[in-house]
Formats: sequence, C-alpha cells, structure tokens
Amino acid sequence: MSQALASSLLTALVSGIFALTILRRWWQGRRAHQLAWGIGMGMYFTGALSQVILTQAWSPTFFALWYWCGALMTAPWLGQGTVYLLLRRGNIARNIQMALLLVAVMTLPWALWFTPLDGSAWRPQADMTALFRDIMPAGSGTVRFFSPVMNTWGTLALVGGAIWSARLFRRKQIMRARVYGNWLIAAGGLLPALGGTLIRLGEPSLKYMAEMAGAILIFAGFLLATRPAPQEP
Amino acid sequence: MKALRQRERRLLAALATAILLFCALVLVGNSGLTPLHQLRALHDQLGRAGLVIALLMTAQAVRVGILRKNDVTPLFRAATFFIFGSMLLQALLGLLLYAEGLRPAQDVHIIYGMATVLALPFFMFVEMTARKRPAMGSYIWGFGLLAGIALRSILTG
Repeated sequence: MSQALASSLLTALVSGIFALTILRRWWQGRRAHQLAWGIGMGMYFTGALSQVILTQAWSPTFFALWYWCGALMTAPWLGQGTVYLLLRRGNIARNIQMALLLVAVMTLPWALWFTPLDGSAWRPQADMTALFRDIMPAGSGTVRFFSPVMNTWGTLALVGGAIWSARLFRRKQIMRARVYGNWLIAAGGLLPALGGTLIRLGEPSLKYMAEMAGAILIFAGFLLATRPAPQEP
Repeated sequence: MKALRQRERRLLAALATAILLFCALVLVGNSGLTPLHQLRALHDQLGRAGLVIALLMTAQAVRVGILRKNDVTPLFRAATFFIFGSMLLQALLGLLLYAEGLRPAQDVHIIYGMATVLALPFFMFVEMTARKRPAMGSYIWGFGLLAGIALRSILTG
C-alpha cells in the first residue's frame, strides 16, 4: 500500500467520523455553526475518499468530486462555521451562507458535467494535486476560476476567525479552553494549505500527512472551543 | 407582511404591464425572423434587461438599507417576486430553445442560466424568515450576485 493511499484512507476515516460526530451534535442542538462545520467535514471526507479511489482507478466523477469538495467547498464551509460564531449582527452570516450555497449549486454540475477532463494524464498511485493541472487545464470552461476565491475566503474566515477569537478570549482572560481550541482550529486550517506549498517545494510525501493532521486538529479544536463553560460557584 | 397600498398596487400593475410590453416589443421588433429566433431574441433581451434591473435594484437596496437604514417595503418585496418571475421565464425560454436544438456559445451558459433563477430565492428566503430587522442586506447580496451572474450569462450565451 502506497503512502498516498494509506494517508488518504486514514484521512477519510478520521474526517468521516468527525463529520458524523459534529452533525449528530447539530441534530441535537440545531446550532447553525455546527451544521456548517459538519458539512465542511463531510466535504473533507468526500474529498479524501475520492482521492483514495483515484489512486486506484481513473473516474471522471470522483475527480470532479475530489476537486469540488477539496478545492472549492471544504475551506469555505468550515470557515462558515466560524462566521456564524463571530458575525452575530444582522443577517450577514445567513446571507454569506446563501451565497456559498449558490456557488455550491452552480459549481457541482459544472465540475461534474461541463468541465473537459483529460483522463490520459492520470497515473496509478499518483497525487492528484500534482496531476490536476494536466487533467483539467485552466480555461473559461472549467471551475478553476472559483478555487482561489473560495479558498482565500474560507481560509481567511476559518484561520483568521479562529485567531481573532483566541486573542479575544485570551485578552479577556476567560474560557481558556476556547483559546486553545481556536488555536488548534487555526493550525488545522493552515496545515492543508501548507501541504500544497510542500508539493510546490518538491516534498509531496508530507501533503497527505498534513491533510490528516489538519482534520484531527480542527476536530480537536472544535471539541475544545464548544465545550460548555464551567458554572460559576 | 403588510398589505400593499393602492398606490403600490398601481406601481406593481405598471411593472407587470412594462414587462409584458417589453416582451411584445421584442417580438414585434423581430417579426421578420422565424418564431424560434424570435423567442431567442426575447431570451437575449430579457437577459440584458435582467442585468440592468439587477443593477438598479442593487442601487435601490443600498440606498434604502445602508444609507437610510430602513427595512424592506412590501412594494420592494413584490417587485423582487416579479423580477424572479421574469428570470424564470427567461430560463424557461432558454430551456425551450435548447430542446429545439439551439446551443449557447459556451456550455457553462446553462449553469449561469440556472443560477439567475436561483440567485434571488435564496436571499428572499433569508429576508422573509429573518428575525433580525432591518433585513435589506439580503437583497443587496441577491441583486448584486444576480447582476454578476447575468453579466457572465450574457458573455457566454
């Protein structure tokens, strides 16, 4: 079993369990940020599972799902959870969610059916991040236009929001668990992006480890940050 | 939702008449063409009108919501329903043209066409279910995005 396959399999397993845990919490409490994080983790899981399948066989459907989930949807949905926690004024968070839903509804059929893919560039056991530019060349017919916008927004919202919250709670000297939780979320949000940088620096083997560590850190941070505050005596 | 006053009802009737008149003028103006190409002209012109109206509504939403800090009026909401209806008509015409064998310049035009129909309902839902008022921000988002999508739709059609 190659390292890419093993790490992707583990990432899929971990993110799948995390997605189910968060969605179960949402089902019990119906808090909007939990739903957004649950969807984000679900996207993380689908992206990792698609990568597992793509290391074994070429499939245009799973390639489209891998790109749509991994490059377009995971970061903004995870960021949306933080947006719900931070932007409580007016309906800003709900409006951003609707914009995100609209982009999701637009880009899914676009990625699945309207983007020309070159399957001949695929190789077994290969890293999709290294191959996707050959499989899906840039052009007006692809969804690649949305990727930098969605990722920049998602990472800014997730990492920036977590750092901002951590600093806020630290300054107020309250809820120490939330300070640590938010730092973990920030670190977890940055790790997959760091994995992409490692590939560009010629070290692709750590990319999957970074993705897996990112999922674990975000989930650990989520558990810490949403732990109920201790009651005053 | 507050009931519409008589003046507002008249304005809405004028808006509905203007849309019908617009459609009739486009069809008459292209009477030399085959019925299919007349419908294509109507589809194109409704798309262009959608872009202009979306920009105007964005400006109005900014004026009411941000500058005056007022809430959505029943007239504004009703006008949004009309615009959604005209976008739906435009998309249905596109679907009919596609079924009849006409194709857009780029395939993604279909995606943008679908998005012009979906853009407003998402934000209408937020506004109509909002517990926090005023909620004009939803229409700034909705019409702003509709303008962008309509522009891309025209460029790929």
